[in-house]
Amino acid sequence: MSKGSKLIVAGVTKRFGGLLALNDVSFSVESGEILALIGPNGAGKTTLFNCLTGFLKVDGGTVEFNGQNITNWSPNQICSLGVSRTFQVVQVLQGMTVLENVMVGAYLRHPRTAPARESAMAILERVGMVNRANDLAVNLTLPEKKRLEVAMSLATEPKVLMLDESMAGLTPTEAAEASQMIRSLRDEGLALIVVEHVMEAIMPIADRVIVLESGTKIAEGSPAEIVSNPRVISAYLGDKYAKRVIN
Amino acid sequence: MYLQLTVGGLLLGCIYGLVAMGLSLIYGVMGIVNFAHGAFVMVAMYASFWLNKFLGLDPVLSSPLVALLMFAFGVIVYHGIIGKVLEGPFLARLLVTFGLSIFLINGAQFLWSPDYRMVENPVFRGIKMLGPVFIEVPKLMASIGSLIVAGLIYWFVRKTKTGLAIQAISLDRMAASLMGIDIERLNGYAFGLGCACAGAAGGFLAEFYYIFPDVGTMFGLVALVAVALGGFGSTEGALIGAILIGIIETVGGFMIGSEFKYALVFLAYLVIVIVRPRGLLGWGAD
Amino acid sequence: MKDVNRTNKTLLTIAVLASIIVPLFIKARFLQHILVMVVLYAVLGQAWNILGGYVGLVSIGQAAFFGLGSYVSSYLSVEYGVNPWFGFVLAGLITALFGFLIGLPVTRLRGRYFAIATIALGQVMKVLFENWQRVGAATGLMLPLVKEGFSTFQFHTTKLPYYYIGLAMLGIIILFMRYMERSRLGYYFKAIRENEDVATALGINKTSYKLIAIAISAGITGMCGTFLAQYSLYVEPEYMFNHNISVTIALIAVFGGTGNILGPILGSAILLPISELTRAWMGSTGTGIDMMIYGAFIVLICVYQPRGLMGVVRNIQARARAQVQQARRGVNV
Ligand SMILES: Nc1ncnc2c1ncn2[C@@H]1O[C@H](COP(=O)(O)OP(=O)(O)O)[C@@H](O)[C@H]1O
Ligand SMILES: [Mg+2]
Repeated sequence: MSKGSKLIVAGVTKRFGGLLALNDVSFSVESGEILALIGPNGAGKTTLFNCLTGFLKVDGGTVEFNGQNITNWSPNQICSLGVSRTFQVVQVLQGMTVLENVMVGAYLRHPRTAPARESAMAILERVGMVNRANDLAVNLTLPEKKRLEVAMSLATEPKVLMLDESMAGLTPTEAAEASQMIRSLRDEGLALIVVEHVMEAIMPIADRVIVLESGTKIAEGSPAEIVSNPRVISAYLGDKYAKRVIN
Repeated sequence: MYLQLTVGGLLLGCIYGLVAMGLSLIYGVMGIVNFAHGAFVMVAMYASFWLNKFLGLDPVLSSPLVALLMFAFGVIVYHGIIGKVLEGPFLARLLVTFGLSIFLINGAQFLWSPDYRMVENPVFRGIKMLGPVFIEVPKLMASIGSLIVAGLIYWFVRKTKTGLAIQAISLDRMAASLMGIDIERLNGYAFGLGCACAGAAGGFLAEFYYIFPDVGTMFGLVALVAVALGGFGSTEGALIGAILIGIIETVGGFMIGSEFKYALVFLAYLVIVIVRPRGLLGWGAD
Repeated sequence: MKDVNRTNKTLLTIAVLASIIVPLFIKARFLQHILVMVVLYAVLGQAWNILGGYVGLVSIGQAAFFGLGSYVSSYLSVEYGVNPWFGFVLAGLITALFGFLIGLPVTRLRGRYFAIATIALGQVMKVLFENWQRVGAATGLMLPLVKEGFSTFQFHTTKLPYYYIGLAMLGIIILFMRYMERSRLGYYFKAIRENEDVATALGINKTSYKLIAIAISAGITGMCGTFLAQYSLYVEPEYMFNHNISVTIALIAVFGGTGNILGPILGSAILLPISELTRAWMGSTGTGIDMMIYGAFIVLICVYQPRGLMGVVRNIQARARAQVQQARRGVNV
């Protein structure tokens, strides 16, 4: 996982009919950084992921990765280049085993089966799912499926990893484990964009935060700046959280 | 000439539309693509034929009776077969009606031989001039009848309590069952209604069309294409698709040769779904 | 685990040997015919399986490829005297190319839209060939009767050579599928079947892989068409593009079970004898009762055996495993 990768998003705009889902959104993220992407429900976070990974075509703006313009490339091309994502509504290959799921990801960099299997096992080890390797994905619990999805993404050996609410629904212990994992990925040189609702889990590990509201970026800064930004507080965090932070 | 052909296509399209509506209703409510629908039309045509032969009833006039018989037939088929595969895998749901179709077609051949038959002394016959176009009276009656039945079904589904319950199922099965709707019974009704559409259409067709075991196959396939064209799950789409097909069939058949008319219809399907993978007005999952 | 593997290997060896040796003792032409049909449809079922079972594109129009293949070799043989083996290979290549070209637009469709598109394709092909004077229109083509022998791909005194050719085809396709199952190709196929979005998110170019699958499936099916043409020595649209071929192929897959190698073989080995026997017993009367029974049989399978025979086998295995585990636990306690 090489260092020095950079994803630059410039003026991305997306419309659904009359609805302006993303309005001129710009930011960038680079290796060794955790960028938290927050915003109320319906703000456009998932849509942004879909635009960056080629699942939706943008109506304007550009996405650039390591100097290459990847705007509106197909999802598989973008993944091959090293930009990988998970889905908010968890998506795994239900009828295949956990190991096979991860192998499908690993085949991208290891076309032969033996190395792909090895690489997949190493990743299962890392996410602590070796004991589940031969179970069908359909039989996993929801948190396990989320973990599997991250494992599958990791197996493609990405340089940028985008996680869409991967910690939602986890117990505090599990969430802490996940945070630990995200941190260690950053320390290995990945760039991470993390969409999360569990503020307690994401704020402490984020290097930088951007806030979306109704498709528009309304703030960007360090976690401390964000939680004290009045616009953000009113738009998203609400009084309750603001009080808690201040206390 | 083209006006003449278009009118002919329109009349044909109305009858297709009735068949397609039944198909669409069944699909919308229980997610079954009924490949036996054409065979149902065929069964109805034979029913009309025998009613005519033994009781002297004219097919157009006896079509309500045939529709009623087909309704009962459909309810039985639902509870005997279709209801049992609803939870099964995709392929089983797809193939079960193929089996049913093969069974019915060959059953008809076994019982009544492969001979072509025709209703003797139909009440409606001959050709009338309507402005600049010739219109075959039985076809006109059949398409008017089809539109009436289609309207009745539409009214039933939108306005009556049972119809609304059926609609509720097609919108959200879970919610419907939670609201205390007896899904099995209503599915049976819906399937019966779908068959009744095929039944009424069969009755109208028997007035002027040859009757033989394989007669329904093309009607079924064409209706299927109409439903897919309109988009699965959209009744209006099915009707539009059917009329479109009627016109493609008559006008196109005239232009490039009638032996190619069905090939043209299928080609139209291929082209349209490739441009719009879910049909003209389609929605929902695959 | 090792024991299971060893029993499996022994069973496999026995099955292979039996499929080679036992037919040698079958002299009745009708029984030989059934054997030929079983291997032919086992191959067709496997070809369907690659597309429908692994990639999840359910085709009910395989007859389009089958018929095209049969016409390619037959036309070349009748018109230019091309050796049928050459025609056989060419039929495979041309139908594969045809599958690929058709696949370009059609693989964008999913589920029932794809299935209906394949039905439409089958119908269109049939109508086109029924009206194509050059290839004999509705009457089709008669293959010239020549000296029998392997090189002419014609055998008159016994049907067994056809059986062995079919068996060889089956063997090759099974080897291919075993390779496929353990390679990236097979994993990617299954991933696309399970969830296209996930597959593309993991870097899989789903369009290419679907095209590969439809080309392979079409190519093999086309070669089977040549095989049947050489077997019956005539081709006609009603016979080679018959919709029932498409339905039977799909049915074999349902009955046997999809997405694994054994399913189509089991499905064909059980279904084809039943269908051929009913046809032989009752079909000659021309009353349609044989097809009636066949239709009823399809309905029964879909209602009572919708997960295929392999589903039953798996259930039994799972139950056995559970019992073994229970027994073990019993010992521990
Ligand atoms: N495919 C779509 N078609 C139409 N509207 C959509 C589509 N996807 C998302 N939207 C709309 O775009 C807005 C942003 O949604 P989303 O990106 O899912 O928000 P978030 O992930 O921030 O909760 C919402 O109003 C949603 O209804
Ligand atoms: Mg979201």
